[in-house]
Amino acid sequence: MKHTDPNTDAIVFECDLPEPREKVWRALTERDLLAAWLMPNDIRPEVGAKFQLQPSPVAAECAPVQCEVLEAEAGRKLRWRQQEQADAVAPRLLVESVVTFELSDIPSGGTHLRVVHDGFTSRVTHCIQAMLCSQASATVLRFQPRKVRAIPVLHCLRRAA
Amino acid sequence: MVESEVFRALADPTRRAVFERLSRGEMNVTELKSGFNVSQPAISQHLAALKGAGLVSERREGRHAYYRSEPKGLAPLAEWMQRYRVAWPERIEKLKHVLKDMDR
Repeated sequence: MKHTDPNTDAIVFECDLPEPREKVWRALTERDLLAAWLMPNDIRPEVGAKFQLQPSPVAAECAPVQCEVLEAEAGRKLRWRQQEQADAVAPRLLVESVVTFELSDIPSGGTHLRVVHDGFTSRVTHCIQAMLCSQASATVLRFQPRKVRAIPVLHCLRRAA
Repeated sequence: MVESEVFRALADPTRRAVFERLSRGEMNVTELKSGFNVSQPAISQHLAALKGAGLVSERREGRHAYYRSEPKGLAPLAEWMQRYRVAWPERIEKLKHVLKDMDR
């Protein structure tokens, strides 16, 4: 049994974009632009700044995601911590995680974007990891998620059936 | 529905600790209680909640009951994490469109 599968607690996504870093940075840190691809927000790209990501009206049952900027190096790196309700019916359970965007130049003049979503706090993830590390974890590893419909606010949990 | 129960069951710190402890091996209530500063009835209540959420199973042997964590019960949480994995590629696709529109 693998104890250190990096995929169990970090989500990493990378891609090359034709636009230069400065432009990508704007799309990450200007409110209107960020809202156009992520969520309505009041972001301020300054270390320590607190902001909210507001779920769309169709998911009105979801509370806003509370965020705090941990790192903001213009054109290079943006990192925030976010805290959200795990479930509308279990609002006491808050899930914390960290989202990091790293921008670097590529020879063609575009930008290499690396997104890391990790740091999921103990409340949920330690339980998962405890199981992943136990002998009985095969069941979890084999678990096939149901097809997820493309909703704009993926952090919003599907309402209980 | 099951998903909500799983989250609710794990929303309590003692229950999370019970769950994690039982994932290391099967125990009876007395063994389990020794690690916690709570009464046996309280432990039993937590076990009942965890059982209700499908996170813990019970095996009876005569007068004794033994408990262990059920990995299958975590499937809803695994699914929840999976949503993030699906979300990022979709979000980045949208970001690409936003970047293109910025040229106009």
